[in-house]
Amino acid sequence: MSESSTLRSRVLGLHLAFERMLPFVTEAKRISVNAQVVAARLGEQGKPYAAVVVELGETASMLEDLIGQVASSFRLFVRSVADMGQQELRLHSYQRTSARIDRFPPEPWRKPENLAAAQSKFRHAIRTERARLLDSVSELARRIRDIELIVDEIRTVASRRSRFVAFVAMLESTKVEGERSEIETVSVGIGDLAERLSAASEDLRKRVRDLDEELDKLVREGHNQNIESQRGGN
Amino acid sequence: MKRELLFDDGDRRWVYFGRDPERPDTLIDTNEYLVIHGDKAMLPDPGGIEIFPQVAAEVSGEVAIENIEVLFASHQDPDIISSLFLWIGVCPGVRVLAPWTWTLFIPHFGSARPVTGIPDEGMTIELGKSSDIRAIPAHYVHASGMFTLYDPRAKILFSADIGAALLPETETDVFVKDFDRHVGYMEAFHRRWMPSNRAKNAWIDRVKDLDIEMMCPQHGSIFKGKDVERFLGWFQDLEVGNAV
Repeated sequence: MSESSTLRSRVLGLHLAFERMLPFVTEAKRISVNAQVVAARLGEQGKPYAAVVVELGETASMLEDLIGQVASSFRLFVRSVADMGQQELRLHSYQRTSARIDRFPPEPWRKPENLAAAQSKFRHAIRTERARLLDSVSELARRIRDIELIVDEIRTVASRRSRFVAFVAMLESTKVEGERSEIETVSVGIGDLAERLSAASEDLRKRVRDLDEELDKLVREGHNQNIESQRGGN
Repeated sequence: MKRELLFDDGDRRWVYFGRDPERPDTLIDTNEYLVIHGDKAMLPDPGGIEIFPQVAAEVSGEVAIENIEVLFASHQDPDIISSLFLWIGVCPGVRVLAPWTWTLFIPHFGSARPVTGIPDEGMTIELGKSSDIRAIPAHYVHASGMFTLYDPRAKILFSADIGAALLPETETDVFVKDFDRHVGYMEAFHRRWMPSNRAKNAWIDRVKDLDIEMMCPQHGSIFKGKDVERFLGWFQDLEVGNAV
C-alpha cells in the first residue's frame, strides 16, 4: 500500500470522526435559543440566569467557529493528500520507466545516446518527485498540528460542562413550576451535549495524534531515503 | 513490446509499439505510435497512466525525449491521454492538442497545463519543419469531439478508435492478415461504441478519397493496402449505435 493510500484511509477515519461533530453546532445553538426563551419567560426570576445564557450563546458561536476552522484546515489537508498521491504516482512511473530502460537489450533502432539522455532525465525526475513528496509530507505534518490545536480548543469548550451543570442545578432549584420541564430539557440538553462533544473531540484528537505520528515517521523515512538516493545517484 | 517501423523516408518516420506481453488483463490493449520529422516527434494518443513506463522507455530509444514536441489526443478517454501529467513531468515544453470540446476536461487527468483546442473543422499540425499532417474531423465517431490524423507524406491515416478490434491473446499480428476473420473482432465494438450512422458516414466521405496505404487504429491490428478500402466499405454498411 502506498503512503498516500494509507494516509487516505486514515484521513477517511478522521473525516468521519469530524463529521460526527458537525451536528453539535446546531444542537448548541438550539439549546442556547431554548435557554434564552426560558430566561425570558422566567422574567425577574430569570435574571440570575442571564449571564449564563449569554455564555451559552457565546459557547455555541465559539464551537461553530472552531468546527469551521477544522473544516477548512481539513479541506486543505485532504487536497495535500491528493497532491501527494499524484506525486507518488509520478515517482513510481518514472522509477518503472528507468528500470525498463536499464533492462533493454541492445537493438539497432535504440540509440544509446538517446537512452542515456532519457535515463538521466528520468533519474532527475525521480529525485525531484522524491523531494516534492517529502515537502508534501512535511506540509501535511504541519497542517495536522494546526488541526490538533483547534481540536484542543474544542475540548476546552466541552469542558465548560461543569459550569453549565452548576447553572442547571441553580435552575432546578427555582420554584417556577410551569417552566420546570423546559428547564429540564435545557439542562439535560447541555449535559448531554457537553458529554458527547467531549467524547467526540477526544476521538478526533486521538485520530489527529495518530496521523501526526504517522506523518512524522514518513518525514523521517523520507529524509533517510533522500540521503540514500543521493549516495546511489538515483 | 513489439516494435514495427511503418514508414521511413529519411525525414519522416512512423513507428508502432504494441502487444506488450506484460500488460495486465484489466487494461484494454492499445497501439502506440510515434511520428518523427527530422529530430522532432509527436505522440498521437500517448496512452494511459499504466502503460507510460513501457511507452516512455520505447520512445526514449527512438528519439531524444526532450524533442517530443506534440502530444495529440484524438479525444478524451483515459486510455488515450491519462498519462498526460507524466509526460509533462519529463517534457515540460510539449504542446498538447485535443478537440476543443475536451480542453477543460483533459486537465482533470492531473495536469494544470493548458491544452490547445483543435477547432471542429480540424487543422494542420506543425511538427518540426513540417506542416502537412492534418487533423480530420471525426466527431461522434465515437466521442462528440474527435479527430483522426492523416499524413499525406507517409500515406498513413491514424484512425483512433475507428477500426479498433478487441483481439484475443492468440492474435498478435501487427497487421490484419485475414480481413473477414478480423471483422469478427471489430463488429461488436463498432456497433456499440459508435453512436451515429450519420456521423460515421460523414467521416467515411471525408477520408475515402485520400491516398491511404495504412490505417492505424488505437486498438487491434493495422489495415494495409486493400484492407483499408475493405474496412471503409464494411464500416459504411454497418448499422451502429445498437444500445438504443
